[in-house]
Amino acid sequence: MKKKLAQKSIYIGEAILTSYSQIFFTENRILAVVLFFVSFIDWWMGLSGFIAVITAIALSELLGYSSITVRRGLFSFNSLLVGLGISTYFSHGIEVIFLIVIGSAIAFFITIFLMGLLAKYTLPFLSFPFVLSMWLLLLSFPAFSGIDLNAEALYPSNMFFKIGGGPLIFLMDWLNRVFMDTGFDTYFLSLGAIFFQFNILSGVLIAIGLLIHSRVNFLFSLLGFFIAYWFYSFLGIYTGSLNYTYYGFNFILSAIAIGGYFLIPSRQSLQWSLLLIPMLVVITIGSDRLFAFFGLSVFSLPFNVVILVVLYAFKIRYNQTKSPILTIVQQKNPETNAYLFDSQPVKEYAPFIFPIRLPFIGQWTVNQAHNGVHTHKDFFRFAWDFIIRDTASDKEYKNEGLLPSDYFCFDKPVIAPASGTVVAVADTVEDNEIGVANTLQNWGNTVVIKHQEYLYSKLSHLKKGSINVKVGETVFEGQTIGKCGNSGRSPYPHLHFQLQSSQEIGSPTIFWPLSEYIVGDETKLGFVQKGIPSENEAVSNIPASPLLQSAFKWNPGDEFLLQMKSDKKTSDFVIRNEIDSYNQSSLLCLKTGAKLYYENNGKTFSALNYRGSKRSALFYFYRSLYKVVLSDDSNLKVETHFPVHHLYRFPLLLIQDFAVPFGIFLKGNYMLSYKENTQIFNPKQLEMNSQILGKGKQSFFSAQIIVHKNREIEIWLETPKNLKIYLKWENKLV
Amino acid sequence: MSKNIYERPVLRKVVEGIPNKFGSLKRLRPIETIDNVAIDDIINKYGSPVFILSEKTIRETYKTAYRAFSTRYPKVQFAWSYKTNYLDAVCRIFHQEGAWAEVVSGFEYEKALDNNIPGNKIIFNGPDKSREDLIRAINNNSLIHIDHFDELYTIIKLVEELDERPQVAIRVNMDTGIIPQWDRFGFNYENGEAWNAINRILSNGKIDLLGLHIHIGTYITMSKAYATAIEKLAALAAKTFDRFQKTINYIDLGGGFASQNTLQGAYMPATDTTPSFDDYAHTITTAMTAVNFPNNEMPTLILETGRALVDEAGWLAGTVLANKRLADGRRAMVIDAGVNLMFTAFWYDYEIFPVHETSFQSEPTTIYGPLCMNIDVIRKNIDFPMLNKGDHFVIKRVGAYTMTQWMQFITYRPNVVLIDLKGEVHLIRKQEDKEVFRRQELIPEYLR
Repeated sequence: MKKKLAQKSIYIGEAILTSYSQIFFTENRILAVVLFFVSFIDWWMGLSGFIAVITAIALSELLGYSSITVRRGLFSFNSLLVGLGISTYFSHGIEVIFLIVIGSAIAFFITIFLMGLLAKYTLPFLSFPFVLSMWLLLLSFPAFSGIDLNAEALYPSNMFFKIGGGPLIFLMDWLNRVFMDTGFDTYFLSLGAIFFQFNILSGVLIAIGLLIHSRVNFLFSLLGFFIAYWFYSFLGIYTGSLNYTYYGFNFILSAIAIGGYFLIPSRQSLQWSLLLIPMLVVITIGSDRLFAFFGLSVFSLPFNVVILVVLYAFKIRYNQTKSPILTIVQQKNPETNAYLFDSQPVKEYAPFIFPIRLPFIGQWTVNQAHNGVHTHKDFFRFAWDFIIRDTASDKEYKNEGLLPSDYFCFDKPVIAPASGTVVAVADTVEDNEIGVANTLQNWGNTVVIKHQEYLYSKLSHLKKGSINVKVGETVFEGQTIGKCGNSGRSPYPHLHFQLQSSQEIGSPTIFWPLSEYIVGDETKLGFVQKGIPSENEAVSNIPASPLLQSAFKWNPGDEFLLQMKSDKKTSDFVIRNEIDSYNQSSLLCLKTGAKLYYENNGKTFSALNYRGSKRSALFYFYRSLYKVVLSDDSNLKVETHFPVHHLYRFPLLLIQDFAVPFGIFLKGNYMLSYKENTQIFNPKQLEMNSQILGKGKQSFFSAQIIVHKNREIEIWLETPKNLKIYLKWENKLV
Repeated sequence: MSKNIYERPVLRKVVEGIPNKFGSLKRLRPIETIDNVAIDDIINKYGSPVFILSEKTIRETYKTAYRAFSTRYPKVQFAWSYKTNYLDAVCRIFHQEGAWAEVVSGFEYEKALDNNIPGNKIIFNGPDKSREDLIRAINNNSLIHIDHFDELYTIIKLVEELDERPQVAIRVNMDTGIIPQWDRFGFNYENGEAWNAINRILSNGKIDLLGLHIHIGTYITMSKAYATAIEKLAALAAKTFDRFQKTINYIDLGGGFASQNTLQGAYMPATDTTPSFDDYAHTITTAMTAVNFPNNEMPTLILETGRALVDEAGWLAGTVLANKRLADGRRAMVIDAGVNLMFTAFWYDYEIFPVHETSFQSEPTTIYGPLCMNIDVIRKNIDFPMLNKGDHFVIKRVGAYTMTQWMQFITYRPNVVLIDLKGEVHLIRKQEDKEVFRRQELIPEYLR
């Protein structure tokens, strides 16, 4: 009971704190504590905000909403703003507390409603609930003539004297004098205004919190604000108006949102965030004039409107592989987003997580690729035609090529490119004679397989009578589904392969890269992690290694012992394999709480992120096995970037943090090479070498890895400081 | 006007068949070049007779065969059958293309090592493996295909002395509908010997049983027989898994694919009857995917085909020595290549072509080799144009088993040349001379 209560109070505490930091799109504790403290500069305002947050959390608990969302403060941060807002109007009193609870509830319900409405478009509800509820309340305020107005905010010096006496007044004066007419005074006031704190001190504190949380966000807040500031004077608007309208934070928040949060911070995100400022300025001025008729302030409306429409425009784009790149998974802070994004082997294809592989056995050649000259146009531009070509003669047929059976690809097995369910089959179209195209039954004999919602693969022009799967049947990756033929619009035998978002035969194609394949022959292995085979490329699937596949296949709840031995000491770490409600797998170090997020798509084990103590043996495990292609091809070389924030330390990393919007100059190149096995069949172990190199081939560390058949992994690590570490990974149950 | 070629008068039986406007003329087109290299030039430079190998044909044939299997089955490995042709140059071409080595003796094993094939890519077959051969093979992690129990006992004894675990497979023989049934190699399936051998290997605990090997015969024109073999092997693999929880890593189907040489007594020419690589591949891979191997693990498919890969690439060019008329009036021709070079002539009806156009007429002819032995017959009866002494001829499809089964008998063995992909001719085996034999022979003191 006691334990349960403790857990619950930790949970509520987290939910309260993140409600504060969520306003800056983060769950960072330090920033949350700073903001919480700032809100209590005026005790009444702090209390109001706190009551509003409690109200919202209580409501979400009462209604039984997702504890994850509650903990992230998403249900309550709008209420917090409303609470703070109300307290700036009315002086403390029991009836005002009542009003705050009501306001908080209104904001809460609007949050729920907007969340549901916008989730369909995967758009955030931002602080719309706050703006809407605040307007409703404001319109009603003149009726509450019996309640005292809050005069504290009008006479800030009085307030500061009450809190901190003489020294605080002196500090405030000094701050005012230092930043007077530099523009920074307005910047700090604007930052403070986000929390309805109209003083420089609050702004300075928030700025420090922001800096601790994220250098990128801090930079964007400056950039956003000062571009707008400059724009105001450029348009001939009195910049001082930013001081008393308190709209400056709109620019700060949008620069952070677009530059660092919703987009991966980069040069492009920087350009976009700067481009939006002029728009925002005009909207701010315009809407301010409109709402002045009703005696209302526009609050964060400009920011909300601009972000929502721009984000929608970004998300609705057909091709998500081009910049600006949207952030799919939010990490600790924007720079972490950027570093992790940068460390992926094929960054532009990051959104295409589900692996689709080549639908045939052995080496085939792309005859027509995307945007082909013959038929892969418009709706069908993201399709491939595959044939088999003789490497020596470069011909695709033997003899004269007058019979379908002369063609090397004819009658060859066609396999399922990924696991799924067969949803459509056509198997009655005659195979054409050579040179004849059946345009009436365009696709010929075809199989459509559903892999995921909105992800179907279609294999066409198969040989009549060769299809051996039925509608409704589940197929596994690599299962033969039919034979390559010459039916439909196919003058020569070939395999048409496309991905589409619906199950009908004849649906338009969608863009989707293929995973883990080899270009060229085995002698010079051109391994592609994710890519689009182009015309005339000879491609084949990469062979899998059963030994590696089983060594990296862990079930949720499996526990492992990771033993670390260095010259001085030996320590044991128990690691548990877990899976969360987002279907995200991770390894948890029970000793330190460090977590290694990973993904295993069947042919590649990829570490996605590492969080927590770097003293855990798991951290060395993460470095050594950052990316492992589960194949035993000794010619294979895996190369990718390694997240630089897990390699570099204070001075360099700090500079890099600030420089993220301009580019990542720190280098971390991870390489993994495979040793040829002495026992080809039934090997007892597989040896690999991994290494991370920085700029100018500076070595961060190298590791010799042996994966055993009994799923044990041994790692001998060496760092440039000559630190030698031995790691042993074994299943705890054995 | 150039002088007409002199043609001797001929007696000729009327050939049956429907005459058309061209008559029923049967005419052999001469073959003047191989890969655009004039045969005359080769003979002039390297002597007569001479074996000619085409690198282009070897590589093309290998690629065709590999493609036929590798585009139908995910894990395919070819192993070059050394005994078919173990000239180093030939072996190295196959190894370059990706084939491993399949050897059947210590000698071939050494040859494979010399050709830079690592021990783990050598398949060691055959009934004759000495204790020393086995020790070396075990230490090199080679794949040892056990042929009989006595070999198995030797290996079991060796396990106690050596550190490495032997990597073995057993050779199985069975009834696949092929006659004659090859039951002299390996352990029989039907009488339970194969199962017995598996039990002994896996009960030992220090030997890794990796594969099952079968070689159902040679020149197999019935590709269905392979399907039968695969079904029986899969049953054996399932039984092994049930008892020992051990999956079989590979199935070696041996060789035996027919080449396009016509067997003596065949009614139709082999070019019309032998299955293509695609036919074999289709039957074999369909059977491999249809049967259920235990634990859903698809074993690697190993193929040791030799004949079908190299026969087409070999040519034998030579010179006519004499013409004569036999007692019954039949014509006979003596050429300078005999069964000493083409042991295989005992079962093949080799196709022989003149190098140049000589006469439009042909006559039933018996072609004899140069040996002073009655058995030295290359073709008993062939409609052949009338070549004169000194004219050149060329024999097609002699790449397999000639350059390994040839004899040093009566005369020396000739030069072997290889035409590379650029059309350059390389000498890859020098003709023998008396020094070769003098080096080998020792004369006791008292006979000097």
